[in-house]
Amino acid sequence: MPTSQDVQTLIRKKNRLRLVMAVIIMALYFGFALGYGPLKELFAEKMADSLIPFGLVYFASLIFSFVIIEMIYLKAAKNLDPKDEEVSHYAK
Amino acid sequence: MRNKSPLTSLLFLLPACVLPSLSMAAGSIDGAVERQSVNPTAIAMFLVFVCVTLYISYWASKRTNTSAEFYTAGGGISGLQNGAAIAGDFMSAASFLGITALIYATGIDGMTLALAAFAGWPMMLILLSERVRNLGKVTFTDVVALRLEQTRTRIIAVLGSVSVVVMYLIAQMVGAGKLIELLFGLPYEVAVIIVAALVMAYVAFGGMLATTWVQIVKALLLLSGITIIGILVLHSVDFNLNELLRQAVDKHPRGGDILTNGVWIDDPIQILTLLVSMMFGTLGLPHILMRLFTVPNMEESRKSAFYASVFIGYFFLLLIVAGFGTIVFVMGNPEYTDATGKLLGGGNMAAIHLANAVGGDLLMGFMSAVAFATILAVVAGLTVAGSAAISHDLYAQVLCKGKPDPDKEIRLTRIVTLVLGLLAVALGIVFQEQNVAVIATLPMVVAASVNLPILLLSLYWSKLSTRGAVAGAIVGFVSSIGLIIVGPKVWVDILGFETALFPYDYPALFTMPAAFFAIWIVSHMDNSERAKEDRANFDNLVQQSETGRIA
Repeated sequence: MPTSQDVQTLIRKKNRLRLVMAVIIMALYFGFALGYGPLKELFAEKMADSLIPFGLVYFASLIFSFVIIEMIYLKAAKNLDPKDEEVSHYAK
Repeated sequence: MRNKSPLTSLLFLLPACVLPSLSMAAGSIDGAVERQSVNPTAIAMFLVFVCVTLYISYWASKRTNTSAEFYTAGGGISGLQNGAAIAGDFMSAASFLGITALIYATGIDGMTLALAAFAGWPMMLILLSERVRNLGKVTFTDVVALRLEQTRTRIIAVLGSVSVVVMYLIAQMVGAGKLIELLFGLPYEVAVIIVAALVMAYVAFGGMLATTWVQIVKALLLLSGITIIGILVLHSVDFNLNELLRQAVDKHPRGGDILTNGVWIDDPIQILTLLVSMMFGTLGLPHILMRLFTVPNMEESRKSAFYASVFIGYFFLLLIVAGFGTIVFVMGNPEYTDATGKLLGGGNMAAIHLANAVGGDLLMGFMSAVAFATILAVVAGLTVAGSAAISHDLYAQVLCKGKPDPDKEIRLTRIVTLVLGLLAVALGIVFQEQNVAVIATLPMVVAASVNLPILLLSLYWSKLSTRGAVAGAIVGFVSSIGLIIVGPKVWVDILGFETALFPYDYPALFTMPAAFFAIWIVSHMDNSERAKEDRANFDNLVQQSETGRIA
């Protein structure tokens, strides 16, 4: 059984992880609105000899990077899970 | 109209498919539709789907005896299955048809809507999936009420849930009627009744278990359909994205502008309001949050959100390919457009015409059937959430103080499901001629401004008090509805004034912070005995939410 001290450390660690990841996600996501304002030119910029605009690359990279951030969170959160976690509620 | 230039034709097209597209994000199909001739392939495929899903409901009904089984499918769904079901619950016909229509009309701006619809998912995983799973049993209201005073909290959370469900339901039913009229050549009222009857059968008999499997089947069908379309479109350009864009630029009357942001909306604040409403609205949708209780533990709950985002992200990436495919294959093609360049059947038909262009009648029939199946899956999810809010939150927890007679509760649950089905038919018919765009805007904004602030702060802020939560919910609710009324969709489009008092379609950028602020200030000023109890509950609750153990 983990002590309440362990649980408090776990909660602190997890909240820090959540905060950092949520801030990164929101910064990347709301940064997209800049493509309609000050960074409009950049978003319209074509990538190396192609017609593919930066905005489209940004969009696709956001989807991939969000999924990667999620994978990192899954792994980190699993490591932080208390080892004796009970299966709670109706699942029993 | 016949002699107009392509650009003028496009201007005629825009109101039909661009303006409604804002609302499509939240799940509405609207704009003018023309009934199509009866489509036998689509009907045959749809009948196969109906037989399979009714069999699933029959199978599920034998495993659904208690109200817990009814609402959470017994808690035995795996993370992967639940992720697919969430994707099935969340990806609407409106996003499939609406985003492709938006790309068809304006080009790359469609990706903004796709991104907005996707981005709630990583936040769901990180902020809510574990804590909500470990604290709730049936609805997100359970989570909030665990810490705060039961009656008041449940009543406001039920207000938030039921209004989101009903508004979403109206948008879905009106969209369903129009879409089915369009794709299958059935009269509007018949279409609405078929949708409601099937959903009642799924939910009343098979509860969440049947709903889950209907959503999984639908997600697989929709993902297969979009994969086939995406591959066929890319195959036509030898899998060269640049070539696809080049052909689209050549075909589109706006030329190279379709690769620039701002054809659809050229205002960063308007875009920001959309991004805020969609990301945070997703986190407050009661029918989506409810799915987190169908898995056995928090690890599976995390996986649910993760797999959901993988499916949804994949879907939206391919939707962009399909969108540019509509420009290349459908635009200017006399088989799919009239002499003025307007899409046959209305702005929403771009994706369906594309299916026909790349895959013939068979693929078109398949995609039409998938669109119908999609509506059924979403409406089923909404119906379960609506009936949980009324029979679990209001009846079992508030009226019976958490100790309902189990038989009575399950009977009531089924009755509420039937009532919701009838209500859906009535709402679909009453709102048939209304501008559903406004009704579709509301649920995301209300979810972001009412449900999310109280849920998030109950999980993460120790000072929250019941009074603060009630005040925040009221401020969020009143300001959302108020600003939508004085905004462009109601003030100008419905009431006929020249300019809107509030310029943005999605007010959540303002109403959500207003709700958070109201909760913060009222909680701070609240020195009641109950507030002390609310705060004292916090530490134990956090422990329970992070460990899955009752502290």
